[in-house]
Amino acid sequence: MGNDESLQANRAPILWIAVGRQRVGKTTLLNTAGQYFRALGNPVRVWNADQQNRSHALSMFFADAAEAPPGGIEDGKVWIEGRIGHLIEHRYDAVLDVGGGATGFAKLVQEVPLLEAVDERTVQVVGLFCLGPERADLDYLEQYAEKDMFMPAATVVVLNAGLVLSGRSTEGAFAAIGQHPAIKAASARGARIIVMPALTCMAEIIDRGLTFSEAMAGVKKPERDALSLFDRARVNRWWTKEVPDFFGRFPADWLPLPSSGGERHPILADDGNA
Amino acid sequence: MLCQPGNMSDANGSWLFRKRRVRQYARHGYAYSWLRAHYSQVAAALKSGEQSWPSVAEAMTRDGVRSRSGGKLTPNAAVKVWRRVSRDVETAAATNAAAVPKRKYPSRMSADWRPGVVPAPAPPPSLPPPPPPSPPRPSSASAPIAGRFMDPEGLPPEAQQMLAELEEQFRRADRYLGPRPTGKGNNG
Repeated sequence: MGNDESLQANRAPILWIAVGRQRVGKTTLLNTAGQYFRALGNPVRVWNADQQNRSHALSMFFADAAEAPPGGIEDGKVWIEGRIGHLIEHRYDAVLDVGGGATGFAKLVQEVPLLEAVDERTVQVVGLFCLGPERADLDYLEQYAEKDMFMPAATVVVLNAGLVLSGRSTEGAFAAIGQHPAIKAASARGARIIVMPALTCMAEIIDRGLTFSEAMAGVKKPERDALSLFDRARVNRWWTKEVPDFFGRFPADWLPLPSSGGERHPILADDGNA
Repeated sequence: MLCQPGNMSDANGSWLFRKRRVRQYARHGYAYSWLRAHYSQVAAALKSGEQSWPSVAEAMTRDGVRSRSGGKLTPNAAVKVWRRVSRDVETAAATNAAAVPKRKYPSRMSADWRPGVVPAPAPPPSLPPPPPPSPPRPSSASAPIAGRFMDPEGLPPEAQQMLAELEEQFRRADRYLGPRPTGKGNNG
């Protein structure tokens, strides 16, 4: 994993936490982020506290992912506390998948607001609220913001265009979301709203356990076909143009970029991911 | 001091960026000077999606730009320099806007001359990483209309600008209204 301390000489460690309902794209977002920033040269750590998603969890894509032990919500909460303590002590960047539903993370922020416990000068916590186009997808944002449980100054509302089905336009599908007071309140507090680009063959890649570089290169997994020529072209465009554009819309201070200048780029890198 | 521009054509001989004279900025490297000279072109190319950082870095390399160590310029290194350039360009623009213009008196003024209405100051541009910010939405367009994601009324200028950028993202996302995922998309 390298010398983490050397990467963080100029800034606080960055911790990305993706929250939202189940199946809104939290794991996909963090999988993408983990591969992207590792390919840029930052050995960002991957924490999987999603105790329900087993088949498509982050641990499937990152062999070195730290995983919450099997157990109940309380176990998950204690594990997350321990990870954050470790990050503060050793100063590195990480992404945390807390899963959806009743989770250890929800328990943690209900008991003690995370942002009160963690000084932002010590850790830059970036909250990623993942939303599909359903009204209920706003529940987390509404609940966490209203009760002041988890609404970091660095908050991104991620509109997952991959969840727009049936040929609807992305703008039309998310129109109802935009009219909700919770998202306007979040915008007024400085949250950024960013559209995560869709990749129509995402499920084909995930099911094969491929990294995006592998998918783009036509890597074939045992007992599975390689992606079709057209799907490879779709991945190529998504991974080399749309994903950099997506992360490029984040404020730079919120990005876990390598401090000392990475030498690799996702287009060029074929390792460092899973 | 003017630096020597090199060959800016890509491998096929077509030009990625129109050739500009590169003026060397004090205390900055050639990569900084190159990006500053080509700022508007690079910003537009990135914003439209026509170019990405690897192709920009390639163009810079072909134009003789090297990393600090003299090696090949990486896309990531170019991005880092770009942030400094963007910051400095916007700072310079803000400084110029705030500067008191030299007073020029006409030799003769009519008796009923009155100064024009001073336009409201534009919201300050944010400093996102590439692509650069798009112009803020005019405040006169604040009434909700069909298709508008959010009514920007009452939001601070930064949020209004963010919404303008969001609508541009929607337009890009909706370029392809062909096949969509049929059950398993970017979820998980």
